[in-house]
Amino acid sequence: MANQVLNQILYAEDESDIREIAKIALEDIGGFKVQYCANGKEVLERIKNFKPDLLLLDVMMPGMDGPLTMLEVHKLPGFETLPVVFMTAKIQTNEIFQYKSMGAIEVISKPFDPRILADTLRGIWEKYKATL
Amino acid sequence: MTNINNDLENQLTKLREDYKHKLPDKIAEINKIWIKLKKQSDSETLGLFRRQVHSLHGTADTFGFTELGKTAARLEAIAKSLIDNPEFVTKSISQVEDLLNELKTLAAGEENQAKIIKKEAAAENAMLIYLLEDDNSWENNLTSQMTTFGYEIERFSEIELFIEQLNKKYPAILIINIHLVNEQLHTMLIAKNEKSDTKIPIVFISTSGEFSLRLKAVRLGGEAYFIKPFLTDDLVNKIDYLLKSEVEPPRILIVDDEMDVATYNAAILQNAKMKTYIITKSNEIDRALHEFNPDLILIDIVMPDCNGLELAAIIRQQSIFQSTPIIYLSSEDDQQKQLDAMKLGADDFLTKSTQSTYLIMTIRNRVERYKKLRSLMVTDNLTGLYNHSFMQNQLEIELKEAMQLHNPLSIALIDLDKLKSINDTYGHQAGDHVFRSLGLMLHKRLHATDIVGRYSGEKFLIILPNTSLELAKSTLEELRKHFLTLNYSWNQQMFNASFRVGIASFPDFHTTDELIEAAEELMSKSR
Repeated sequence: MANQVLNQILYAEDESDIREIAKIALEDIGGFKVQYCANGKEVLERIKNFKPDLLLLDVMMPGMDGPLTMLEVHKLPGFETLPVVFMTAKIQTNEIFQYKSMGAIEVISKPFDPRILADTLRGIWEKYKATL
Repeated sequence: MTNINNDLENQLTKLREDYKHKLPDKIAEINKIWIKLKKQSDSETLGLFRRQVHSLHGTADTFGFTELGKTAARLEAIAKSLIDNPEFVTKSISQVEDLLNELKTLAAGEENQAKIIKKEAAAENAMLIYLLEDDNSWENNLTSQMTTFGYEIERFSEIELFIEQLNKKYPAILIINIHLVNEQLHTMLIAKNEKSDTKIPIVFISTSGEFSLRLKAVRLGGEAYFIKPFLTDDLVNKIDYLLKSEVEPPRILIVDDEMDVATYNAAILQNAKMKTYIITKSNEIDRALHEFNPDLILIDIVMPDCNGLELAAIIRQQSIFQSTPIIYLSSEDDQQKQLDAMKLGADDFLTKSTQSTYLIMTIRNRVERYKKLRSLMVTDNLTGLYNHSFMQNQLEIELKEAMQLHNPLSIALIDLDKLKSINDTYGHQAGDHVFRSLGLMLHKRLHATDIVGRYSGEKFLIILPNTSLELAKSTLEELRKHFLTLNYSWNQQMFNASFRVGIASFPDFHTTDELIEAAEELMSKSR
């Protein structure tokens, strides 16, 4: 990963309403380049061409859920260490531990505040970069 | 900047309006699935039902329809448990339909004027303090101390201006001379205290400890009462404690063999802004205690592998959890059994039919008292910071967590330079003062997740979780430089002080002893 700044994000969320809000939060406020997927399958199809810096996944999606999507993505050649951030409405501390031990770099709780989502992600990104 | 913000604000408002119009359809869709479910509860329909309720919960919260989100969360807990126990569908009909009706009413309701969550107001004023006091003799001292620690103080000597400002902008805390409170302020404070979202912690100061004045302070919602002359350090400590307890949510460990009951209770407590951690097997208790470090434990008394009574006894065997409150939750109405439970170390007994508001209040009160008590037990008398045994213990907990999560962890040992010569030249009181102020400065200037305590004699220990060696070094260097700039005065003489520091990190060192040893060595080398 040559680039140090967070720029491209691939985001999967099955709820179109939430995708709309996230669009404002990530593109208008955050200035990121974002592509949106409605489920895990789409992520696997899109990821090779888009080559995101970071993958942002809703945990509970129909079909392939967030954790499963992450495991599949990490199997793809060239994406083994792609940083993944989960979003979930469940804020059980043990679940956060669990997701992190599966390889997610951070877990963001829903509902998110659209005004600070981009900053939150940049903070996570910097922390992640510092540990490399 | 304002224009851009307004523009975004408009976009968000529009999205919210759009969503509001879609709400009735979404709920109707869930209702349709429910009707189908009543006829045949196959796993596919159950899964669909849960997913739809889940997404309603998530979207409602995101768009700021908090009440609706809460109701959806309750329905989701039921939906989730039905997946594991489809035979309960018929039993749950009235409960589910009540919640569905509630959702319909909320979606149609005019009162639904929630705004998309705003956090910036609170953050902006988090360090702002208003002081109402006409005597300015001690203010300079207070102001200089508080600003060193990052607080901003505005003093008012006239009550009219004070009230006017209070109506304009909210501070994090109020310090009020009780002798200046007039009828208008009295009414205003009472009104603010009634609603939890406008409640501000108040510290009263007074020239007398007369009972009637103290009673007045209590009735106005005062959290503390200081009689002049008092030490400003004590006031600073108190304020710090009040602001900290505001932001740290209570941590509740739930032990219940039935996941759905546990999830349901967790949802109630989370709505009341508490953090929860669930275990369903009693042998997970040790891991949960050490990983989560709960402020209170809620135990189901009837569990298959080991009953709640025995579990409480096991928890009480460990000295650090000897005073952690334990509350039993049970369908048990038998008074004798309840008494037996209390004998084995439970603090309270609630039946499962208990109203959720009662559950929340009981837990909140217990936790508050426990936190106060604990802060007395684990703190050092001189500095008000954590004491040696607490720090030792905490370091073990943090190191374990760091290892588990593969996070870095740093510790810093700090030794005040020339304490002996300060004591000899200016007296022990001056030495104590400098030592205390160093502790406070460290505490105030570090992150909330960093832990500062007194380690021994003249040494402080700082634990910096999730912090690499490089970051810890640069942070401490900054603090060291800042400390050099502080001027102390004692009996009209000015002097400065300095400190030495030694830093060690995991994964360079793997045990608490190795960490401390390495930090100690580096600290003495820096002499």
